[in-house]
Amino acid sequence: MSQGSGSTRLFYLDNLRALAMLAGVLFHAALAYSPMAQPFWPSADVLNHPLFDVFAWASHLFRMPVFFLLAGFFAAMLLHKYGEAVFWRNRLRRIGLPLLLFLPLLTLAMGAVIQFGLFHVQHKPPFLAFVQSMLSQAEPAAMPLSTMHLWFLYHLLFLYLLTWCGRILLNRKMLRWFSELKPNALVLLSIMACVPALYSVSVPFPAPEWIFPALWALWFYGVFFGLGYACFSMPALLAGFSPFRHYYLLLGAASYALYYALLPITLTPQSQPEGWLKLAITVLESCSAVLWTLCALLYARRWLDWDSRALAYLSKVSFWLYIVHLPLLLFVQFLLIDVQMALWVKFVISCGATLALSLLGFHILVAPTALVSILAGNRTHQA
Amino acid sequence: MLNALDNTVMIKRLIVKDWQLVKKSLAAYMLGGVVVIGMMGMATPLMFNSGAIMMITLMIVIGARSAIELVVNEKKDQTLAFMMSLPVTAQDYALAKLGANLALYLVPWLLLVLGMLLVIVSTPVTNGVIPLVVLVSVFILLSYCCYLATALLTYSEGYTVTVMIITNLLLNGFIFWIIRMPAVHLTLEAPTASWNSTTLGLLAAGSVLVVVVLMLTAYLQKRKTSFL
Amino acid sequence: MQQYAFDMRNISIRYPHFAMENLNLSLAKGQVLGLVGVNGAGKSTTIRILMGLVKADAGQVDVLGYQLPAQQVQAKYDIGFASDDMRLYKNQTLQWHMDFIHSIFPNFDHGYAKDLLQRFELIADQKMKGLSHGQRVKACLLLVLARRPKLLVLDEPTTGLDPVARDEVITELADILRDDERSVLFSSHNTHDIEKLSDQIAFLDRGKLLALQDKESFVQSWARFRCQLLPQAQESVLGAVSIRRSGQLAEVITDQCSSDFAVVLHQAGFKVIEQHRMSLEEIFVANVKRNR
Repeated sequence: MSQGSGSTRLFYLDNLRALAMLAGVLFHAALAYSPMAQPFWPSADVLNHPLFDVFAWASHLFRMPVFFLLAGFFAAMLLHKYGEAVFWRNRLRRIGLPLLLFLPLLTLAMGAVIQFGLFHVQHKPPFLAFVQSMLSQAEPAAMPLSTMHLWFLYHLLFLYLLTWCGRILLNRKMLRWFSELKPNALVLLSIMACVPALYSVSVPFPAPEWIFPALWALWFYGVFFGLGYACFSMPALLAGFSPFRHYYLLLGAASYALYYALLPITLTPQSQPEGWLKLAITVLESCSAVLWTLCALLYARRWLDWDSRALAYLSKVSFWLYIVHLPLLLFVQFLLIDVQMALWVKFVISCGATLALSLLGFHILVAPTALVSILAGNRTHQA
Repeated sequence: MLNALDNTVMIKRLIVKDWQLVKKSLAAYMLGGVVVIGMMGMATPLMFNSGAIMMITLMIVIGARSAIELVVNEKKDQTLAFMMSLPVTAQDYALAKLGANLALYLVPWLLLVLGMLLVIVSTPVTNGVIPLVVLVSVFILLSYCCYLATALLTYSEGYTVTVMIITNLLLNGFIFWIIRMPAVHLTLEAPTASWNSTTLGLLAAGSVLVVVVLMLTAYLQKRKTSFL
Repeated sequence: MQQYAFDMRNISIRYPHFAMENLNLSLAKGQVLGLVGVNGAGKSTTIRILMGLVKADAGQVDVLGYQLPAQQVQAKYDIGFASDDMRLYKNQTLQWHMDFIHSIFPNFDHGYAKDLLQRFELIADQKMKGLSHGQRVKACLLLVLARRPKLLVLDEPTTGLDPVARDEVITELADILRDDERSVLFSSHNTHDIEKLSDQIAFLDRGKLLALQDKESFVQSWARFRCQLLPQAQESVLGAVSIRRSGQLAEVITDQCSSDFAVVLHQAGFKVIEQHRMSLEEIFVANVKRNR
């Protein structure tokens, strides 16, 4: 993405993306050992510890929003530098094509891994037991069509479409109103904008995996996508947020502490909060999500803006890692469920093995093939 | 000397021009389409039904707007003279209009129909309604072709709107008529889409009519001796 | 051999309330032809036939060496057409229109367009719906002129303009037409505009071509005489288009004015008191009346 002289490399964005990806693997791995996720996570282990919940749900609040914020930033950059035609060609190749290519493959892989779990896991997690009971019925219900964790790519395509609509429909007056907002007013507005979207779904907000674009997700993640878009379009914006980053971090932490305290003990549909409690939780959830997402970007800008070979490598493999990690992780965790081992060791092994297998896959299946041009991202430059 | 190929270039330019002219409306429809599909995807009966009604409305509105905006308004707003001063024949122009309208309508129409089928396949809504949904969608497409043909042949807002009203009234009658057919209503609750000779016959007839209307429009347009 | 910008031969067309029979009209290359006629005279029909937009029932149309309407696509690359009822896309800017025209006519001259923008005091980024009628006409002319077409066809471009805008358009057009060697067909019911711009003038009425001459010939051959009627005054005079009597006085209009005509008048019993030159409008009106 280099263009012209004087373009500067935005290392911190690549580095942040790489770390957020890594956090994704850790988050999914942690769910197996989270007390709250026991009822629904496919590879929920017999052992669990609340610290995994603390970590998992904290990272859940800002990890995907960070991706959408970065996606918004890159979308604005691509449009600004190369125009609409190149933008669409690039996005369809880098987002649409992987979705089309890997969704069927992942569906098959996930089906195979679940089958493996059903046959080989002795201490079946509640989810596997549920699947088994469904399958044993005379007329087993069809599995709902799912985009799985590729929902990110799927919804991103819709957000690109909405970006196109927005660029045509929004007039200069509206955009000027936004651009003249003070940084903290914009933060407050973003938090308030997230509340209705999050209020309409369960807490913590779920993954919109169904084959339909989820309106709440388009709205919620659209706020971050828009923020990212604005960060590129108004370069002064990030500098405006920057002095407040420590406050954002603390305020986000305080919100999260309260939020976590108010969360139900298990995340079953029956235990979902309602009414004012739900509203309070949602407001806190929005607060943490917006503040921490901004913090991630601001701290990355401050501390991660350097050329690290390790992070550059991680950045290169991150898209592939994102696509393949989930079935691999579930497979490894199914293997570990019946093994007598300390909880932390299981966590480290499942993360390590998943990463190792994914990287091996990258070097065997991606690096030597044409896939590398689609999946191994270029580094980011700012004009 | 110029050959026929250069005119294809002009026809393409006119189509691109029309695309630029309706980009704004199209963006609004796309936005509406995403919201409606999202609503239907919420899979509650209320959301699904209101989504389906909005979807049909959207299909009709897109068709009506594109025929009026791109064809009738060209005459009304007196931009037709400007267009005809360019190196095109009346036939090239009509062909470009037909192409632009069909492309601009068929794309959202197909997206909406596919979206709706996706909703039915992946929600508790019984797949038995698929023939009904497809037939109604094809009827809406046929209606569109009829008033597009009227617009292209007459450039008259009055005639076009009249055909729009008639086809929309007929749509209600059509839905009522096919729902009462045993071949349709007996299989509505079926778990799978069951196409039979009646529904397949209707589908074939609808598709043939769409092609006939479009070809007739092109033919009549070619016979016109006076333009503007 | 005479090089024609266009040549219309034996054109006939029939509508329910209008008929054109055997119209012959041609324009030599590099000339400006003004087509004068009242509303409904057939000016627009003539122009539409010339542009290939209407197919005549009979006759031949040759424009810049192309047969119309069959070869209208090729011909239109070299014809620039603007009319009073032509509008541009109201939600688009003039710049959008210029880009659109440029995409079709690669020889669209951006430098000239910029020059015309200044001369016409137009703003490229302004949407069409914000323009006055005069500005719209100027915008249309800009789009046509910047293409530098070999033949320029202007159908009533000054109709509906206020006097100031009309003067501006005519002045600019006169200036532009002097600059360039191009053939122009210019129709109007306003003879003043025609007089300012044209080398040749054609009068059209009820689908018939009444006269086609160069401007000077018209002005020289037409005259009005105020006469005193002598006792032996005859009923008609050879060469008189009209004779209006009022008591002992008469007004005689001729299209064959020469030094001999006064003598002819005198021999016919008309004593010339005054001789006037006629304006183009008067000539046109006299022409129409004679033929109705």
